[in-house]
Amino acid sequence: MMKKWCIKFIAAFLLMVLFFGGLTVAIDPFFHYHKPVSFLRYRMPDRDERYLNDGIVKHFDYDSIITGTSMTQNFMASEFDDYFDAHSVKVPLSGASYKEINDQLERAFEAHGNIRIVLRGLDYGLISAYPEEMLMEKYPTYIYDDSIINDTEYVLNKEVFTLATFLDVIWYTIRGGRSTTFDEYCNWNSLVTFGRDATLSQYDRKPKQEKAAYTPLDTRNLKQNVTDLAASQPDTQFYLFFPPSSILIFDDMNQKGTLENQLKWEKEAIELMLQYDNIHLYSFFDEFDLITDLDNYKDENHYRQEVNSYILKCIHNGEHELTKDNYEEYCDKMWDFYTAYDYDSIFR
Amino acid sequence: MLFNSYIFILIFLPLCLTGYHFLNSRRMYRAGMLFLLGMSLWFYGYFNPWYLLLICGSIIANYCIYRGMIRFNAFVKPIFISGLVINLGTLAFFKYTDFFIRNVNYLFSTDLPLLHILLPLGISFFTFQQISFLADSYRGIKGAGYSFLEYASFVAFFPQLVAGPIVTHDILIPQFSDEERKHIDWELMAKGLALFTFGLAKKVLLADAFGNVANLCFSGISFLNSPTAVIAMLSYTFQIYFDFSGYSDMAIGLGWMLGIDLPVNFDSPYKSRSISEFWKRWHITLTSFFTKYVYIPLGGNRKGKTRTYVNIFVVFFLSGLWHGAGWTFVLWGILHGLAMIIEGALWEYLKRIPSLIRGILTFGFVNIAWIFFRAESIGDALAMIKCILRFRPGSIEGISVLYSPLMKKLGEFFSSRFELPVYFQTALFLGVGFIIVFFLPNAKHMAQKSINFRLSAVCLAALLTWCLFSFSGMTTFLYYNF
Repeated sequence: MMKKWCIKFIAAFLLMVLFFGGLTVAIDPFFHYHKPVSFLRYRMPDRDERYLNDGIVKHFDYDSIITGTSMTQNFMASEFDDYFDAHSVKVPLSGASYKEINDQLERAFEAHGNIRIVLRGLDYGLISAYPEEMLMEKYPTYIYDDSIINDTEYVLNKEVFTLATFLDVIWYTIRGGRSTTFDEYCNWNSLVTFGRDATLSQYDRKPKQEKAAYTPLDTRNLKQNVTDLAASQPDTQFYLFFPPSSILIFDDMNQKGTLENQLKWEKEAIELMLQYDNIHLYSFFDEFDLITDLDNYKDENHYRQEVNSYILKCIHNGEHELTKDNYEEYCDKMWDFYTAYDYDSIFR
Repeated sequence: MLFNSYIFILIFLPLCLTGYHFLNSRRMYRAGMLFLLGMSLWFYGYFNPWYLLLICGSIIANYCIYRGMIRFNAFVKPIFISGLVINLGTLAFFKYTDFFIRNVNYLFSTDLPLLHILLPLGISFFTFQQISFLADSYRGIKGAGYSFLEYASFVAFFPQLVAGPIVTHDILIPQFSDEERKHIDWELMAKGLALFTFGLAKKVLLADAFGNVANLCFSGISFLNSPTAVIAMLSYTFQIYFDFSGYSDMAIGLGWMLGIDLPVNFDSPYKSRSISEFWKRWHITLTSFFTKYVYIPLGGNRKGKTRTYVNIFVVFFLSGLWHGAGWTFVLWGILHGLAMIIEGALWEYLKRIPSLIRGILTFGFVNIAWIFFRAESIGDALAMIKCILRFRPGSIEGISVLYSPLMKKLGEFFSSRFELPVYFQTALFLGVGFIIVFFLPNAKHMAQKSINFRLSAVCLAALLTWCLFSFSGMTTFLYYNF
């Protein structure tokens, strides 16, 4: 009699594991094995960015990638596609280092290949960052790697099942949801408050410090996590730009005494990147009206979606491009403006 | 390997049970024992093959000492002493070297570097287990001569290898040679499956949840107010109980699946009405070990009151030290030792206090003592206690029992639907914790009873599935602005 109990127990256990695990494999909310299933609708929340992106770059149909940190999350892929006659996916990584973004691009090239254009924001302050830097200590590497053994963490995972497989796909489809587009994916434009008041309330002005001594730029971060990839993919065009953070980041650097170093490092970085024919570099820091108007921002870094659209338009029209012929003039303009600016006037 | 891992539940355990019982069904008992030994070594060496070298060395060395004591009877005492030294020395090296260096640095203002020696899993347990064996052999209290296979199987037996219960040879080895136990007892198997599932649920669903709160609070004591400090203290009290007793439940359950009876290690300890009762219900096998091998050899209570108190103090001092290489652990041990002594001295008066009140006082004391056990330093522990005693009210909104996206979602769903305050999750978990430790019978009892209910097989299988699916979660990636 108890033998029956044991058999029932084991059978029930195996059936449940196969059922729930099997659902996640078949539906594959993180696209680890295959593209989205055609008759299902997939809600892709930005909460799952670091779980979804890998599957997107490996299995979706596309010929271009839009990536960067949170400052690229508001790009409209449809707008990009119109400008460049492309079919793009947007895979931003909030708060990420150059390395994390580069690692993701490398995985994309390896799995997908034939990528025409990469549009990538290079956060200004990270030019000089430590090359191995990553935002977090722990990542869902079972998603990123090729090992199928650790996929148990994906397939036999109650959070993945309840939140992703069930709520974001099965239940979402039943309730008539529409699959998230790459205009909507990770887009936060309508969720925040922009304006001078909002921006200033988020900003914490540090006390003034001594100017830091100059050291040459440690180019490892740029080389390992930006230019090496461009060099290894000569058929791909890399449109790189500095996301136009507000005047407040310059104030912050001025207070900390790092402003002059940063401007010099920017020049060294530009020189490094312009050596590559397939890198097209853009900067909007010389559009001073934009930078100094805090109504364009929600905090010292993040700008309105209109700015994202403006960036696309400029890239398409060839405006604000840094070339070997004009970058020195640009750097001089940067130096003259930002070292002489009256930062106190921001707060009056 | 860990019990709460995919590989253990899906691969190791099925393989182990199938192989062991198959060989036994063919009456290939020796092959079955060899198979079990092999699986146990795989279990242990899974994380780090070097550990395997260590435990094999330890088993071989101790077995040689054992045979040496028999063979060279004239030198039995020096051989035994050297056995003690080797075992304790190895333990001291791996566990206490950095503790020793830190104290030297503190006392002599030196700056010797710490060695950061990795502590091999279970070394405290299998060291004590083998010491007890050598001591019994020395005193002539042992059964017939054990073969190497029997001895090795006993020490390496995977259910109890990593975190107890501390099983002594006289309990385990005779069971290995008992042919009755080689035939599958399906009722025992069912009870084993049930108990294992309960233990796993305690560890994975309860202990880890409380652990999230405790970890957060104990690493940020300066941010706590009185209510959150109390919640932190209770969370750890529940965490350590569900974790440790859950592990023991799993060990006993696994033993049953293999036809072996391991000794009970926990018996609803928080229901205790006195400290001395607490130590008869908490980590029972450790209490037995210390009683048999330290307390009684020192004289127990047969040499007058003062000597009894000294003996108790020594036992609890050593127990504290055994639990961890740090002064917080020693202090925890000393606190319990002093409590035992005072309770023993004043028992005539204390026993007149109503038992329920005594129970509450005992629970309160145990909670405070755990603060020292858990805190990173004595200063931290005192800071937390001060925080609790300040009686300054404050909000407990910052505390969330589980920092996972799923729990957040559930919390949001329920609190918006039913207008519950945000911290209801914490209250719910604490409530469940209280009910279980104060009102429910222990897991072993529940396992034995539960299998007689209708649908229990399916329900327990569902619980096991839920636990399996909890081995992995999703991380919340905090959003930075830059």
